[in-house]
Amino acid sequence: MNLQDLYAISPQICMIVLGMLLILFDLFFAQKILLRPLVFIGLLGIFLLNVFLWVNIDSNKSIDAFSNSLVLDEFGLFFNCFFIGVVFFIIFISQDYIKSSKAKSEYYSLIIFSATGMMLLTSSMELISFYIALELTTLPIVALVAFNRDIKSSEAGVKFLILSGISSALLLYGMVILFGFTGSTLFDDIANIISQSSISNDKALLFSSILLISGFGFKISAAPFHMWAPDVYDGAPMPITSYLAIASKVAGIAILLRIIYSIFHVNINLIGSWSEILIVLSILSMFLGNLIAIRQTNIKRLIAYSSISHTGFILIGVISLLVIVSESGVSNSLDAASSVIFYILGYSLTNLALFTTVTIITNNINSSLIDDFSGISKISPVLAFTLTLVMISLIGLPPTVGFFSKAYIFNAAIKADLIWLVLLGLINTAISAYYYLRIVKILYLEEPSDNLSINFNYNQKLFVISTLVLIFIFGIFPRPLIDLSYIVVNILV
Amino acid sequence: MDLNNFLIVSAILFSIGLYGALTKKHLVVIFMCIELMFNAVNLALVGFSKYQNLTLVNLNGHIFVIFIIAVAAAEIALGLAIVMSIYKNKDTIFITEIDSLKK
Repeated sequence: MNLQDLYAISPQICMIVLGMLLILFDLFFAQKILLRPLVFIGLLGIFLLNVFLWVNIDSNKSIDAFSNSLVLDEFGLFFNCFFIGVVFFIIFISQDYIKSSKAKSEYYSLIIFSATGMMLLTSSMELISFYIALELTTLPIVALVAFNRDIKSSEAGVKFLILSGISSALLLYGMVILFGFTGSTLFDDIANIISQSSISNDKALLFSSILLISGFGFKISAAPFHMWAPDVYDGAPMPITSYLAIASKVAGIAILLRIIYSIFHVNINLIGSWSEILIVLSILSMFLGNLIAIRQTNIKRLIAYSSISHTGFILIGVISLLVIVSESGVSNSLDAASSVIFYILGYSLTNLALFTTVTIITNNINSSLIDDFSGISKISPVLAFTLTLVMISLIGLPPTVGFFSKAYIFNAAIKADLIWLVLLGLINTAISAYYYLRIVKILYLEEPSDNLSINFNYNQKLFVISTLVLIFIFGIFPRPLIDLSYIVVNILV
Repeated sequence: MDLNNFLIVSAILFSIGLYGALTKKHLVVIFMCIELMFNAVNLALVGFSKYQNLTLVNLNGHIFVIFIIAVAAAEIALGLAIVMSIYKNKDTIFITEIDSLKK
């Protein structure tokens, strides 16, 4: 271990220190009011540290740390910034939720620990650190899901824990086979060995890929591994639901990209079977997610199913990436990879706005049934308009960022000659329009109930309006986001 | 003794664990089954590490096992805490009777 190693993972170290400081602060000082400012200042500092590292890193060059087991590159730095931003947002919207709780500092530090796990995950290049980071991501989320300690929350927590335990066991078995047939835990060495593998090894590698994909499928809630998502989204506290829907899913997609580009891209046969398996997952996720979402009456369950269908769309991008890699080499897959990142950005931005508005509404009406949203446009036009724009963006219509995300994903799929997959995607977009627009109908065309009132403070209003503006601006000028997503994946390709 | 024996036992253990985790009704038994899956993985890792003489001295597998044991312990601690909280709320830990999220 030397200074360069510490330099490479300094954001992660600072996050851990911040989380521990919060717990210690709670032990020694009685002023709980200072906790929130401390969290915000700490996160801002770490964000600036990340920006500093990003400015100082040479593009197209990565810094290896801890004998190649961790890496500092633009891909990792981008996701560091992304996860810090999401944590910032989660803590911002949990203001009302955490007000009555006694365990404030534990809540904040669990979120921060989990985000640290995600930051380590996107920069790990070795199986052991990868697994540890994965568990560091999952276990705090389990505690947070069960944070209310009532029956719904505990039930969601235990479901999440059992299914994530099974999925990590599957993932581990896949990793062990990979390790056993290559004799190394470093991604680089594994890639070297499987690029010259014989036919007998190919079967073992295929088996390990199937296990790995089932493990990832749980993490990104792709059908048929999606069963946990609706129940956990429903039972968890609202801010944690948004954490699961945004950060957890994005982390899963990010490590999928990392693993494909650092291990599996070298073996063409293997890439072919990966894309075949992922096609099944993608089609199932889109159809199951959308068709079951139609029947939902609870907004949280609806969001869960809609996020499952979005996983299907993201997987279209990953599939076209794999097809392009197997047909014309890694260097041509830049467009497809950047379309995945762009979709992630658009999806997260839309979900930020969605969860802010839905949190404000459900806190005020004390119900998460969609029918109780009736006539909100008459009481709070801003919220109703934001929610409408969010729905339009989730469907993928202009002039919102969701339109360009879908357009780029489909563009990548067309380049990979997957026209039929694009058609299936378009059919699903049409199906999803039905249930998204039903919410808009309930908001605008139905009469409000008598004693409905919505109060939200100045900060929340400012935040809602700024996300609204961002969705709109990036729906007209997506160029900055597209450039950013090219920069991010450039190092991988 | 060769590598195959280790791998066969490990595969059998893993399958028993997976079957149990998906079919059992008692929460603690489910956690035991998950634990069985982790231990199957550990057995395979130790076997690979000992018999697959690909590089010089390969301790990676053994180290991996230590990490897996630690993480599995953390997972079970968390699981039992949540089981306690379910038992306080509902007086049962059979998953067939815990159905408040289904409507």
